[in-house]
Amino acid sequence: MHNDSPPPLDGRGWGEGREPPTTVDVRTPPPNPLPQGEGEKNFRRLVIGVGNLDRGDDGVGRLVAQRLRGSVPTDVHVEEQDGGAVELIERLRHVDSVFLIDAAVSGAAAGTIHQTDCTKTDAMPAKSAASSHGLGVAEAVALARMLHGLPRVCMLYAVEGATFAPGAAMSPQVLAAADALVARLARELQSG
Amino acid sequence: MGRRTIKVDVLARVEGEGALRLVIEDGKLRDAELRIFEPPRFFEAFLRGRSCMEVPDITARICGICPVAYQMSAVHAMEDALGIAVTPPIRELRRLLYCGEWIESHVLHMYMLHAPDFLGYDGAVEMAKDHPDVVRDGLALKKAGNEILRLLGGREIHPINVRVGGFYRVPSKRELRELRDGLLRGRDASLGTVKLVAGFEFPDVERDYEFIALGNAGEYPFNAGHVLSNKGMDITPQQYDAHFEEYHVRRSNALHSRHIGHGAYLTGPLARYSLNSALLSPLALDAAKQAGLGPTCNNPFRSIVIRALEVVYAFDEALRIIDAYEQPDRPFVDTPMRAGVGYACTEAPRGMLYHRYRLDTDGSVLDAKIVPPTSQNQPSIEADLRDFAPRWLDLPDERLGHLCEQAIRNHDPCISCATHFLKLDVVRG
Repeated sequence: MHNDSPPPLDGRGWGEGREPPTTVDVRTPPPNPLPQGEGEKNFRRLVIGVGNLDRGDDGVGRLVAQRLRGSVPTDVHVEEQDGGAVELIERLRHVDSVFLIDAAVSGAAAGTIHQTDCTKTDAMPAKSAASSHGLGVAEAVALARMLHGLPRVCMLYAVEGATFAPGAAMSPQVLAAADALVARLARELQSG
Repeated sequence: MGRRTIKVDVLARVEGEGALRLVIEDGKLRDAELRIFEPPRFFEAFLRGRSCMEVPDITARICGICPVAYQMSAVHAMEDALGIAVTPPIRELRRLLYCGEWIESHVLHMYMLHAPDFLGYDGAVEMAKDHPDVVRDGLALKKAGNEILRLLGGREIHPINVRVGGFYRVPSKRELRELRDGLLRGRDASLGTVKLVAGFEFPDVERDYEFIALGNAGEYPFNAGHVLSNKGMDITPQQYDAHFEEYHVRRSNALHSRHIGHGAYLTGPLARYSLNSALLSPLALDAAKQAGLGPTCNNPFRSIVIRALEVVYAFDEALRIIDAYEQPDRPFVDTPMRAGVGYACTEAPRGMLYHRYRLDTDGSVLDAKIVPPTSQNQPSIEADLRDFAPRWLDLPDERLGHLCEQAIRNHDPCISCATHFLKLDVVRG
């Protein structure tokens, strides 16, 4: 057997020398009669702040989204998400531009803003190891890219966090970074 | 040979944080432990003093995957304590809400967490590279379940429309009808899911479980019925505490449960199906036959097939309810407060969920007991590992570890719910 094509959908993989199941032919999955989703809202541009407001710096994405709300052009929709990848994948469809804001832990100084152009860089970690609770923004972007492609513009702003304890306040460095990011995004969104 | 330790420090594709440790000495399995280190969440303690009316919305926060189950067990227990009965349309709407949750939760587990095990991938992202259509189908199916929650629950996650005595708002006939086309397409697609997962390769293992599930209510169980066992027990939820007990084990922040005088038992899809398969809809029964399942199933690796059948059933049941629906005059019945104790069991996607509350005369909670399905299943999950792992000891550590993780995922444990779980540790010696 060869290794350069996907293994059959029977879970045995290539090269194990076993016959595929004979009772049910699953190599050709049944056609899916469901539509693959329509955009829920017809906004051209989307700002999505991701995080948990009750976990210290993890809430920075949502804080930025909250502060941007009301001061963005009418074609921009600002929303908050708790980070559920499955819901996020759907939101990355049928829009021209998406600006994602999340917290990050990379070892950089707290408050550092990491900007990633997802259309140019694979933001996916080397190996995913997460429950559906833990499938995060990077996995959602990777899945969206494979399943239906990314919006023309897909920027990820990740703010390096310092504290993620339940109930903790955001660190001063992250609050300052949030202010800077709000001003920067407001400018970029105004310039279209 | 010596000692061989296999450890998975953080178990992937389970809901919450836990770890697995296998100790192998001289080629024999000495120990298999599932450790749950997700911190305790103290829900039972901080419910004390809160109004019984707040409890469904607070307990919904225990889980983002199965909030409806927590709401359903909570409202039924409160209604038991207050001595009130809901009207037939409200009961049907609650079944419909549960259909939405089963679709969402089962589809998420099958496609994003469990299927990668059978197809040989580390996760859904890696699987999507080779099989984007499979992941796309899963996401579209889940969306159909989300729509039910959005309409009936007010939003897709942590719904806010469930009320002791009924709902805050009930949908119009027309609003429910709007779900119909999506559910019809979902039902057709769910038959494709059964065909897909029935074609997976399953280890040829079985265990003589004591299955515990709701039943004897004339319907495939969601939120009513007696607590049944395949070993002959038939009790009401009010008798649960006399038959089951929780106990603490040092390695776990989740309490374990046992059937007093019997020991470990299993709740969830295998138990529900084996005790109630005759009550599935004709379409789901036909799909079961096509998938090669008999009236009972003791191979936990086939739980994915039963989840797929339960999704077919959930679509079918949702359509039945919508077609028969007549909007009630009132969205809820009155809820006069009184002192009392209330009990309820409902069927969360991953198993039976027991709630008990003692209320004061003003309806405030004096004490609460919540026994989630993963607490009940944890001893059986460890017993699965002790039974199955010895057959796999000749395999390399990575393959052995992976099969053990898969054996855990068979039961879709929700560690977040159970802690009031995962990491794999194999010690070979």
